[in-house]
Amino acid sequence: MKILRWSILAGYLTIALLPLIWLAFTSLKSQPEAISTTPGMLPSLTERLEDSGGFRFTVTKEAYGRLQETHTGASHSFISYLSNSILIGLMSTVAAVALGTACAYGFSRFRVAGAHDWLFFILSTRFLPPLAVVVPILMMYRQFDLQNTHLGLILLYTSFNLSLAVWLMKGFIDEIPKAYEEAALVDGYSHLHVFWTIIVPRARTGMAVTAVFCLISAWNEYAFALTLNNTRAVTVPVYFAGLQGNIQGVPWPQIAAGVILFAIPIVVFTILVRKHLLRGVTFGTIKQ
Amino acid sequence: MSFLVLDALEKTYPDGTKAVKDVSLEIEEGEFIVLLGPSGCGKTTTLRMLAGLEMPTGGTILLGNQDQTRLTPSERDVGFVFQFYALYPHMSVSKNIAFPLENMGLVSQEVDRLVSEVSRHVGITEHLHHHPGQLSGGDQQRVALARAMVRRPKMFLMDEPLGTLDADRRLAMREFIREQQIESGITTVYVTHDQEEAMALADRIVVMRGGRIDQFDTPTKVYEHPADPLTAQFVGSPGMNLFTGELVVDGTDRYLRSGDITIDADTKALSDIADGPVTLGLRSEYLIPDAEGTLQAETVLVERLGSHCNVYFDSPVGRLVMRTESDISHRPGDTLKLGYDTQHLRIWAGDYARPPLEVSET
Repeated sequence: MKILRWSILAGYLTIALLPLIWLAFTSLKSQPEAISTTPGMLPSLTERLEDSGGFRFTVTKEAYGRLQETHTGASHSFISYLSNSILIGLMSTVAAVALGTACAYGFSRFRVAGAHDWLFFILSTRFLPPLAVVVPILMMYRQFDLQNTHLGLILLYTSFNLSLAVWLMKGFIDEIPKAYEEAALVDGYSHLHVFWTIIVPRARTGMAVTAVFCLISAWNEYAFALTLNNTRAVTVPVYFAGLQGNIQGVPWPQIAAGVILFAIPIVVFTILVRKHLLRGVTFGTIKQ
Repeated sequence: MSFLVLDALEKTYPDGTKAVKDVSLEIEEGEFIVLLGPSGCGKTTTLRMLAGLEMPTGGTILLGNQDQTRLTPSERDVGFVFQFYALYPHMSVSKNIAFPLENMGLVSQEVDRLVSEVSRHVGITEHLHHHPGQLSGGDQQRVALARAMVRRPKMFLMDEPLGTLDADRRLAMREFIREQQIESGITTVYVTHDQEEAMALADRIVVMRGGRIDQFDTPTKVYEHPADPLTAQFVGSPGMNLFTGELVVDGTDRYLRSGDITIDADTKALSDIADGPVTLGLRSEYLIPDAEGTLQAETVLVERLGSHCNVYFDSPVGRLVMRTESDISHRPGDTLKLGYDTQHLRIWAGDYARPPLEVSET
């Protein structure tokens, strides 16, 4: 039984990890090796391997080094795009989670006139495919000088993610017993203070889950990042796309290296909040 | 003027439910008042209005001559003990207790002193660094009490604080709560649906039903002279024996009948009741075997409870239960005659449908 279980797990893991492993290997190859018709399958740390028959490839860190260069098809180095992505992703996530939590608290605890309609309206902002509003938003951003600014994308991603944040957070806050707040109110605290000292600590799990969703969606967004920018505040997905049209051939090792670096922040962030995520996805199924 | 005055207090929820209708009470300083009633009777809503957690839709609340009707909970200076403790799960026990003090502008040594004093008082000093989740239900409730007490509020409000505890824990905590209250002398309003708890704790009991006050009196008065048959049935264990009858006026003669038999009654008690259907009540301990008695009864079941026995009978007026201190030799099927002192017979005008006594016949 145990062997069967392990072999199923191992098989699944291989299938799931294979693309990532291939990506990592590609990032360690030289350009000719990466596009060779008989690709090397396993890395070798030694300089030359005559007898391997091309089965192994020579490891080089060249691709990572070249990420600092400005390639044809891009206006800055990868590092500058990555820092744009980090800045925009983090700021929009913080804003969406903060606003979403506050808004959800209001809907959860106070009598809001037409609360159901408001919540439906908030959700309805997700009904339209985002691409349908690219042109209007572009016009608007031109009007307000938000094109080519970090603030522009931060605002845009925040408003995209806000509906998700409000709905997710409302679910989490609804689950927090009201008695905690009532106890704090009787103990002499204002609603605002109660929100900070009782609700926020209790809603951490929900905030972590919401933050992961918001960050991933901002991190990977491509269409608006492409259309609203051409030089400054361009994010990594646009950078990768730009390299495809490279006249000297697509620099696969650099792209692979970039993808690896691009994935690391999300992986690190998810691992950091993993404890909360596990509780978050089972929320409501287990009574606390 | 009384310490706490509720005047024509009302609460109607937005959906039209009238939870509390016209509740007026005058409570003296230092009293232990229990709001007693079945669920949905408005007792918890009344308590929450006293705390400011619900806004009354009518009436006024005066505490120490100050109109508190529209004040927020934080402006009221009351301590609240919740049914499920409502301890802040992310704070240690000592942080929980210190929480009400933290926005009072006290220096931290003073906060520490008050916390350690009150925690010594309720006996939880060894748990100060634990989190509430690590404590037993009884200890959590002690922490909740300590948190309510630490500020020395004008009034304690308690919403079924013993409802979630085990039976043996509950007795100990009941004793403890009363002891603390007597010692502190702080006026307390306590909500429960457990009549025994109400009898044991209260200086005066407020019996509520359907959002109204049914009776407001001392436990003894509520027990001996319940305002209506429902309260008579609800208070006491077992509840009062109830049966229906009729007040017959025959010239100057007034007497009670139930079915074919004449019921002995105090003639004075009958003088201010109109003729027609009546409901009669008799506490189980006032029923005695009596060869001269008018009630022919057949033994159905004997419950031997150590300190006393409950004997259930079938009689012409219906099921009756007798409580007796001495062990008796009755067996199911035995017949005998029952009597009672007429001064203990309670008479209410009107025919209340009698709720069936639940006895499992073995």
